[in-house]
Amino acid sequence: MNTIFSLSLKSAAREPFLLFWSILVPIGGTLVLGFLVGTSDYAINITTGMMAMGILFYAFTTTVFSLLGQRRRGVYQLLKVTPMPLSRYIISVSGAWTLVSLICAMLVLMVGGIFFHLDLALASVLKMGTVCVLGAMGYVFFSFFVSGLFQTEAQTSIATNLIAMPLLLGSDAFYSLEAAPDWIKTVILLNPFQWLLNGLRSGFNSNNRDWAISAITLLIFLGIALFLAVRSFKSSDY
Amino acid sequence: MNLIEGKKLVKNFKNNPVIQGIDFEIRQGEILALVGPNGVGKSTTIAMLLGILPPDEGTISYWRSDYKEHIGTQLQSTPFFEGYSARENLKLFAALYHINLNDVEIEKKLTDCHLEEAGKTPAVKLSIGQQKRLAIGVTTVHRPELVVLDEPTAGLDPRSRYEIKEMINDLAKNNQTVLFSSHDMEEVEKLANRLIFMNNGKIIDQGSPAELIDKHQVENLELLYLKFTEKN
Repeated sequence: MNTIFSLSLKSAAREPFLLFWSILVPIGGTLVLGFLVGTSDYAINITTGMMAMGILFYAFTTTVFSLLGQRRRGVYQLLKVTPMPLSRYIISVSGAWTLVSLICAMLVLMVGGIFFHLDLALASVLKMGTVCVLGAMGYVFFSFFVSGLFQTEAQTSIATNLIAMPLLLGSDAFYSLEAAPDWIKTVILLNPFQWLLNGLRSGFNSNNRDWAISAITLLIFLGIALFLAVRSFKSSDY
Repeated sequence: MNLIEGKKLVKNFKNNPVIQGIDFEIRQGEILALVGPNGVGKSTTIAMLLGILPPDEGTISYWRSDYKEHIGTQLQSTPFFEGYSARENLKLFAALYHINLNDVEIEKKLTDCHLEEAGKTPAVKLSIGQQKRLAIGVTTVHRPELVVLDEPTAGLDPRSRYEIKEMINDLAKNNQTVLFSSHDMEEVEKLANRLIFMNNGKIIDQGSPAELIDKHQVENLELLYLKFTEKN
């Protein structure tokens, strides 16, 4: 299990998509938008927004394509004939991908902290790290489900954009939604990406009540995503 | 002793009968070839014997309860892990069998597969011949008692086919049982102790190459193949 975890980690670190979308873009976006707007409130908003975006791009978008590639090559069929339980393999791989997501998010937080002089108490960082792990695991499990639905990269590309973009744009990651109509504010309550943001921001602000609500909501999302992932693995096509 | 025994196996796909009540056994120490045209159910039979596909009817019994630990499988698509080098694939496949390969063991395995220079190359970027050799390498990384190879030489040039055949012979010399599927009757004649001929989801005949040639009064297995697949 350790071998699978460490090899998955090594392979993930070589992924160019990761470097660009989950490290360079979030860090670049944090610095450019943070300095452009120039207020301390916006600095934490954009830092957390970019942390969450990096997690979404890696733990969901990148992993969907990795899983699709593995499924199409028959890796999961092959696993059925080895003594390694599929669940252990999935836990090892998901664990590595979650750790990569956490490291990316922490890199963005570190850069935001240094350039915008954010007050990062250890307790806040731990709380933010916890919601990063919950959110990333939820997205990884969700990507197992989504990758099982499609056969080609083109179909998967359309689907991931149709899923990721509304999550991203239907949140207050980059702009305020205070003036949005009430129905939009209601719909946003169903957006797991917004709950990841809420968790990161309340964790930073040490608002324990909001942080706990966000963490519980992300835990529910994780449970639903895990259920969907298990269902798709039970289908003979996977 | 039979390692695997399938009785009255039936498999349907969307109400189309793909396997129609076959009996099948793999005997310890033999090199068994599963022969027949494309789409007659060879890969489906292998998938059922390995537990990838459950049969709709019939039973399959194994020589030991922990049989998965002792079977090495190369499926038709050679599913290497994308983003991993040849070395890493060997290490990863070994881990699937709870084996932790050290660097010396990996180097030896690469040498056995004639892939000394290609260890750091991503497995999916190797040539087809190299991929097939690596596939047998990862299939046998845990020294299985039974090695199952689904069309191991398909699409290979003569040199690569020769190297794969040598690898299969080496497995037999190490007292490992081999089941392979193939269309190449010359290869089957040279390698197999016994062959099972399939057509339209049924077993048409089985026996040693010499027995079958003698029984059907043909000069070689290629002519037997043509006879069995003759259209009415």
